[in-house]
Amino acid sequence: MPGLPPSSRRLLILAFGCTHLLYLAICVMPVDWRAQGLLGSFTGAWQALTFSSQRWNMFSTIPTLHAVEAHLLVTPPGQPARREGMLLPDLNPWPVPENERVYVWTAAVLLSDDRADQREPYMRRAAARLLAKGHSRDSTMTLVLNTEHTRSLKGVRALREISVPKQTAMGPFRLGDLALPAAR
Amino acid sequence: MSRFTRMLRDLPARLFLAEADPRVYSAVRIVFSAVALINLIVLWPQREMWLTDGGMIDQAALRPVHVTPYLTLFSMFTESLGVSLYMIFSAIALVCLMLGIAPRWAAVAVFVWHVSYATRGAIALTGWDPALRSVSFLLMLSPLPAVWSPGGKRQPPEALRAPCLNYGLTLIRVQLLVLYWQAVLDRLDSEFWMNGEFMTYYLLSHNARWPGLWVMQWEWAATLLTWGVQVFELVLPLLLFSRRWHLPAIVLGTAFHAGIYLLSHNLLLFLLAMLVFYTAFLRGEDLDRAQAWLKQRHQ
Repeated sequence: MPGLPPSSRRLLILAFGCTHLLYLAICVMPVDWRAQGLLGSFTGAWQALTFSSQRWNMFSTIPTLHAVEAHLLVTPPGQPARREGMLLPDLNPWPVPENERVYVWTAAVLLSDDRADQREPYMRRAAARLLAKGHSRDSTMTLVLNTEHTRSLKGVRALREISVPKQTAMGPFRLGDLALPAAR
Repeated sequence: MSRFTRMLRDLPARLFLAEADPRVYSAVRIVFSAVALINLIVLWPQREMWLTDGGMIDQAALRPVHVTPYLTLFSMFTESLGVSLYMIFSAIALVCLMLGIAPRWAAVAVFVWHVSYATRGAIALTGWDPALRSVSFLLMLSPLPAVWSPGGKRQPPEALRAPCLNYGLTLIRVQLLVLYWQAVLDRLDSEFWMNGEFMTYYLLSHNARWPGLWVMQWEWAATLLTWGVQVFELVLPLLLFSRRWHLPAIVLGTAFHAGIYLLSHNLLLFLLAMLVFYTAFLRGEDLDRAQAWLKQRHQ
């Protein structure tokens, strides 16, 4: 603000400082407490203006997974299934050790319904990539998710076993059908 | 007018218009730029996965449900080449900010980078992304003195030592308090934090560096650790704000996040992002002592 006279500059700083401080003070409250009414309107507007979202609910509850892995299974007609990596765009395999961003995406898109709207576009792009890699349009594709769910502590103590394995799958879908709308 | 009323009246001026040592702003600028640059470098191999239209996140599905206005330069840069060039541009802006070259323009470019990648990669954000973005916003609007920059070498020493207004540092410090206290309050709803079982579950989870049955032999320690984390995150910001205890608090906070890093995998950047906040709690006299110590060592 070099063009402003010092008094206006100080006034502007005070106004901004007080508003942002008020915003931060309200944001000390957990998200559910401050999302309603006037507080919600003010924090929503200021957040949109400043792009400074305040969601610091790191590990607000227990992580329930001991391990997670996902991959694609492609089955050409009359042939055994072939395993492909699920990370787009290059169909890279699930990263070991786990990549934090890959896990966050998986948790939101595949493990919960938070971003279920991303599942279909993901599957369509994956199908398009598999076709580009040379798989036939008649092959089918399945997204396989292997998870190890941590037992209750009582269960871990009693059984001396940390987790229970679970496998879920999306598919099989014919590659030609799946990739079609994305190719238009 | 009572003492309390006078204090209340003067509070905004004390919080935002008091004098601050310019070196503290420069230290925050340098540490922030270095950490944000490391974050960008770590993101570089994953850029096609999170930032291009051929990657994991569908932009068309993301746009209508985004919580803040969907403003990102990755609406323009949708392919690998454009994304790569924009990331290189942002890396240059971060280096400029670190060195203090055209710092205001660099700070604006760095803020735009943080908003852009956070908007485009919204479904793959980690804890340190919003932490860095919040500092980038405040740094963009803060004084950016010429101390420890090429421009500073051309200025007389008294001009370099001229104090800055403290509003930027105050807001970065309060931001850290919000980060900790919101997390603490949020966890009060969780039975696992309240009964002390959280850390045992955490150490058995995929987040842990060494998950295994060994954890069950240390359940009592994990229980104490669970409650300890809550108390620590409640008290640490208060210690950081105190003139007397801020340095031990910085050491304790760093040790705390280093501990989290050791017990987890993938959380190095979270540790580094927290160091940016701790830097904002330094005071002029700390830097005087550090500079005197350095001088002594080089004599």
